[in-house]
Amino acid sequence: MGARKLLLPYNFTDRDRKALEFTADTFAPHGGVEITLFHAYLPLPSVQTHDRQVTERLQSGMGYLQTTISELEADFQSVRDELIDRGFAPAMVRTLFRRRKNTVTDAILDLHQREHFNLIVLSRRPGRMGRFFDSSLHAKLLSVLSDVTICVVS
Amino acid sequence: MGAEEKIDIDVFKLVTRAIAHSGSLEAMSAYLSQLLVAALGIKGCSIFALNPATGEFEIIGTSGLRVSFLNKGPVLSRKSIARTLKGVPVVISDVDQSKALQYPEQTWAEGIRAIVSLPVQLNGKVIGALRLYHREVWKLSARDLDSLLVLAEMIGLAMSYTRLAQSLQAMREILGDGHLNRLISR
Repeated sequence: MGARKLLLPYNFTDRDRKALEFTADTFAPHGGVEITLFHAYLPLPSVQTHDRQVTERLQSGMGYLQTTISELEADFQSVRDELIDRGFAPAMVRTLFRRRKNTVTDAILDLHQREHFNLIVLSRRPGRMGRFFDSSLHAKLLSVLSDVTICVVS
Repeated sequence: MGAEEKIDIDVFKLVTRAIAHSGSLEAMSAYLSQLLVAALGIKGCSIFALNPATGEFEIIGTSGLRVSFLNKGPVLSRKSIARTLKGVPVVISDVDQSKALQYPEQTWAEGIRAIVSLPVQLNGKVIGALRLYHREVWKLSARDLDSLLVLAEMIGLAMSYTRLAQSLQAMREILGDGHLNRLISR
């Protein structure tokens, strides 16, 4: 039997850290799990205006924000290193740091459609206000996906 | 000499488009905070929703700030620039001179020297906050502050709209379109 494929969406929150620790504690000792550590970010917006000076000023500011995204990508690699330190073989931990067009939920669904994971480990913060405004990631995934084990770390 | 004005009509159009055309509150907050950071040449920006149960300002969109600063701990509305909760804009031109910060050490370590905190209100109630962080001591122009207050009001409207849309979507998922249409047409 091949390795089980595990998707670990990661957005650098304290709950994501708990999900990472759960993943390491539960799966690292047994082996046989291939982890995809996934972060999907929104690309920077277009800053074209009618005034060239304003556009240049905005582009300069966007240059700074692009460096913060690069720094985040470097941090993301250190999360992978942490999983390896916790016992996963380097070949079994893959990182995907990607731009997304829509919501994180859509990005996860797209990825799952292509790669057919056996396990998805999600984090959830109870009572969060954001859930009143945007649909809950885990609720949507639970309602849409089948033939996959979803662990929700709360 | 007065402070330089940075939010002109071109910037304002870009920012309002980000509010009007985003598909979700998360995307709106992210684009809005990115555009404000770029337009004002500042370090970072965060948009918060106030959780009335916990009194916590929860981030719904942010840009320019490091993960270590964002994960410093809960931002409590009664401890972190508490006057925002009274519905007034707060300009901390120099964080060294302020006792209003909940996390002064982390703020300093992040390289933040000035903060502007604006209430996001709806029907006179504070439902969130828009915060801007500068790496230098900051003299914000009165006109830019006015523009930011208008933006904060628009964020409040967008938050209430997305909450309503989310509620309708949840009802639609439970009841189905037919039931919902009948309810609306009564």
